[in-house]
Amino acid sequence: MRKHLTRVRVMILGLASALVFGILTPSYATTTITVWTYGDVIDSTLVSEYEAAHPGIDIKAVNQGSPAAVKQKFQLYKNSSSVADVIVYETDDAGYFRHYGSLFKNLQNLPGASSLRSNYLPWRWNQGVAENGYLIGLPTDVGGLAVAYRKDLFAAAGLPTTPSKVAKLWNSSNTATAWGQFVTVGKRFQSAPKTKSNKKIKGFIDSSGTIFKAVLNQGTTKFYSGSNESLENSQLRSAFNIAANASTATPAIGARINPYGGSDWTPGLSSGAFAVTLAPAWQLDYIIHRAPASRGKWNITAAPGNGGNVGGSQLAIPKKAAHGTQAWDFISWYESPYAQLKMFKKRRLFPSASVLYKPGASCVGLSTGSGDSRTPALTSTDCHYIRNFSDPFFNNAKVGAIYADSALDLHSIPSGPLERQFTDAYQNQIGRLEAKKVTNVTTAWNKAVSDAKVISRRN
Amino acid sequence: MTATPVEAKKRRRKGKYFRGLSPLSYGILLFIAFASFFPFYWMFVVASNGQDVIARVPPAIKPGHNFINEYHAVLEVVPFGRTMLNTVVIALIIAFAQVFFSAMAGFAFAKLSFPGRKFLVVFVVATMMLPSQLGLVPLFMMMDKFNWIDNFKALIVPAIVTAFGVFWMRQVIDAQVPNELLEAAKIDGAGVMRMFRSIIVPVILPSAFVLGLFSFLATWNDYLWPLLILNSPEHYTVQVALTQLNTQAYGIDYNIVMAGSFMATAPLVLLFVFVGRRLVAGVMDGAVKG
Amino acid sequence: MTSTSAVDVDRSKRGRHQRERVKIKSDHPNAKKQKYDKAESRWAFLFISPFYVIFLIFGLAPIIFSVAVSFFNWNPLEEQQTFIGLQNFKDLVIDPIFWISVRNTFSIWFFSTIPQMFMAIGIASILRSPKLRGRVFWQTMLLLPNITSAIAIAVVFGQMFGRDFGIINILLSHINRGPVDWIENTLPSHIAIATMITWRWVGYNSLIFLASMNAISKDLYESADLDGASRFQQFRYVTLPQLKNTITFMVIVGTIGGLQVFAEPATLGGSYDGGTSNQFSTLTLYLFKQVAVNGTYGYAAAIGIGITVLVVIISAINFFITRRISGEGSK
Repeated sequence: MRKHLTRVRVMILGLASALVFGILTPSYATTTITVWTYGDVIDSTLVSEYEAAHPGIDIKAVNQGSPAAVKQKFQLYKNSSSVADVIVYETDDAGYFRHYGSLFKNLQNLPGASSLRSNYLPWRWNQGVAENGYLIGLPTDVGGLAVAYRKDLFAAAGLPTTPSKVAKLWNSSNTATAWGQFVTVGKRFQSAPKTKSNKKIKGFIDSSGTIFKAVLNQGTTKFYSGSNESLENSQLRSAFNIAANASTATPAIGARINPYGGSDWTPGLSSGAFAVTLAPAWQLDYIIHRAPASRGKWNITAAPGNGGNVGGSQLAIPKKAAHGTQAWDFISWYESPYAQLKMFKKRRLFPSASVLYKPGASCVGLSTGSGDSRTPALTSTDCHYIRNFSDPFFNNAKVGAIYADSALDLHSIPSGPLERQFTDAYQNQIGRLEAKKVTNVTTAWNKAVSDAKVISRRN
Repeated sequence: MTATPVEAKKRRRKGKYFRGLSPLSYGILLFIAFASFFPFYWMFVVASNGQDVIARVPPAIKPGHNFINEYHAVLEVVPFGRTMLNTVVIALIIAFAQVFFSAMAGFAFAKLSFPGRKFLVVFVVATMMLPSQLGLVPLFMMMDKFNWIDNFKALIVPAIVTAFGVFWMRQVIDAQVPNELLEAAKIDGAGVMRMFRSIIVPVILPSAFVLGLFSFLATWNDYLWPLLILNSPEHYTVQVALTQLNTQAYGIDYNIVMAGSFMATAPLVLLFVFVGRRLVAGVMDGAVKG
Repeated sequence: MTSTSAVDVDRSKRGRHQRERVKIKSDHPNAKKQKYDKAESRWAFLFISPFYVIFLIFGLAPIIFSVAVSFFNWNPLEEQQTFIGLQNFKDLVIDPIFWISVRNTFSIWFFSTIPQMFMAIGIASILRSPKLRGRVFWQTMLLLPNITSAIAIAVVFGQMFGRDFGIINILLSHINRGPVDWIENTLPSHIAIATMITWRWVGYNSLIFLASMNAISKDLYESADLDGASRFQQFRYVTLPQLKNTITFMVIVGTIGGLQVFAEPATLGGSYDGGTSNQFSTLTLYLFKQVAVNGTYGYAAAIGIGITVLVVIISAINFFITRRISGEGSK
């Protein structure tokens, strides 16, 4: 009986103390911001920092596994109040989402938005501006593009090894000529006698097919002219031909190892199966982690042609999002120059906030996007960090400056809803040329055009 | 082989079919066990080695020392215990319901006579032929209407009946329950309910157990639908949680992914070993009865 | 059926069964004049109703909706959809990728389902022996592939089938063969996919066979033994006929599953294309591509209906063949 009483007393005491503590602990009405993302776009360290600075806000990032999965989920949820507060879309889908601007909140109307534009790369910013004029998405990082090459393998093939000399090998100001020079270097590399140090070589470049997208992004037109489809324009044809020539060169210069997925790239990377990869900035982090033993063997220099880009995403707020204003506060903070610089330091994600590296731009004193002062303002050291950054893993290559120039060189390119499918249609034919499933470039081109037309008709 | 009289007698009684197994049979089993086990083992190898493990030529086959780190890394990304509990509870509910409803419908289709029976059986089989992906959009709209988004109901309710289960139970009951047994029960005045309980259930138990197990596995492995429906970390199922580990947009962080996969698989393996005896008994039961 | 003893075995057992069946059949719904027992019918409907009610709401209604979608140019982000009649079906009939996918699906089905069936029956016959040691161990091993997560499978098989650094090609190089490009070449890619499917499902299928094999009465084997039937004869004339229902079930379910293969080709290629020339695109993968990449839901629905039509045709053919093989035809 006594025992029983004691137990009751303990319970009451427990309940009471729980209540008291519950009241005493500062509790904010928690607002949960849901983000549908893929890959590593939403970084947990940055999220924690934001949450710490914004009590009562809980950021819940749900990884959907792939850009396609986010896209599909948004298609289903577009009219549902359960839709996420923020969705992440890949730049390959920018044209698609830009077509449906009315399904998103117009960020332009949100606090502080009007002053942000000048902080970012114009072409990257425009990937978030919808056809109806809405600002639907803020840019995350930018891929940029450079050539990562193996010094040791270049030396073994009798090629120069310093970045400036290597860049000179393909420095023509004409895009087509520059890539032609690149292919010539590749052939030279492949014809060099095999020695002990380069016997594992399977090709000069991992995949010559990657050249297609690189060239395409260097131009001003892809598959759309204005808002009309343009599936046979001269820039497209030229990009196709450049990639096709690289893919049909004799001796073959590509190892046919796809860097974006596929199981052979990582072992190829560490065993020296290829000497060159066209690397966006985020890929540097992959090389560092997957082939740690290759430290010091790599160097980085500018890619042929002017600039380049692969990858990057946009953060958008669906129209039905429950916490639009708070979501805006989060994304404008998350993509602020301050936060993007942090991501560069942590993971080599190159900022789309060009104010951090654009010649003549001054970022000193800039704070977070929506203009609040809860994070430290950028200092002069911060503002010179990227331009001065050299990467010890890659023989102290001036990574910051190289990617800055490659990103600044690009232009806005008209895009449309079928951009991703069109890219696939042409890319597939380049792949077939590479695999020698088709040998005639014109045949491959015609097939690509007709496939693209079928896609266009069916949509 | 020299057989003692006792052994010979035994063998005569048991018959050729139940003779001891040849080394060849064990060889086949060993090969299959190896093939089945290797990827599971290799998950651990990749999870416990450094990030370059995947790059080694020839591939690494020895475990490293890094598993604990990856284990903690996984726990940082997903609430793993909660996830496992969610999945087990959902999978058990579905498995029990599915077995129950399948056995009932299977019994009716196999042994009871009623108008339209043949048509309805064909209908069950036909429904299996429709690709389930087709219904995704309208099913989602329904869930939205019911307010079942981010709710376990959306995973459980549509899954508690399957044509697969009904069809299987029909085939099993048709083949394994002798009609004379039912006739006899009928003469004794047993109702349909009694027949189901005391004749059907005991006979089909082994197959029902396997159906339940398979249903459990199907829920465990389900991926697309939970990913579309669930939005909160506290509601994740195992496969949704594993998706959270795809932390590279254009590749895979092999260590953490394989560590997560290993952590998700290992408890099930242990479970099988524990319920293994029951499973064996379940599957072997029929032999005793015969 | 030249062996008299085997025929005897067959007759002695099946004769009994057949008599029963005939007896039951006389009061069977299929006998036209027969009247249904009202109480029994009521119970029967009660028993099947949970399945039908839930299935009609959550299974069939969505599918009917999708059939309707197939007549539209259905874009998931548009508010208004355009009715285009049979255009999706007209497109489908002349779509070369659809037909390539049909070919691939059948090829992959052939390389996976048929070996799998034989292996599963073989493994089940080994597992059913009462003298088997370590039964729990073997059965756990058999189910292991089925609980290995999809992404782990992708990584492991990627390591096996890699062209340059894959284990299989490394092994082949030791006997001076290869390297085989398991992705770019049509037949090797089908074999790679079939291997993944077989690996994943063969244990599962063996357990289904095992469960029904164990339900076969021992008496049958004993009487067969007395008649001096060989082990193979016992298998052919006792086990197989008794497994008729299970084999029918497995063939139908296997065909349906086989024609809906999509995870493995998606894994192998890392995309919904099924290779640059669609050399291993399957029907369901192609359907998925319409949904996940192209956003053409109407066309996806048309493909789905195309798949259904094919499955119905194949299942019908299958059904008759299996009936023959497992002996019902000889009645």
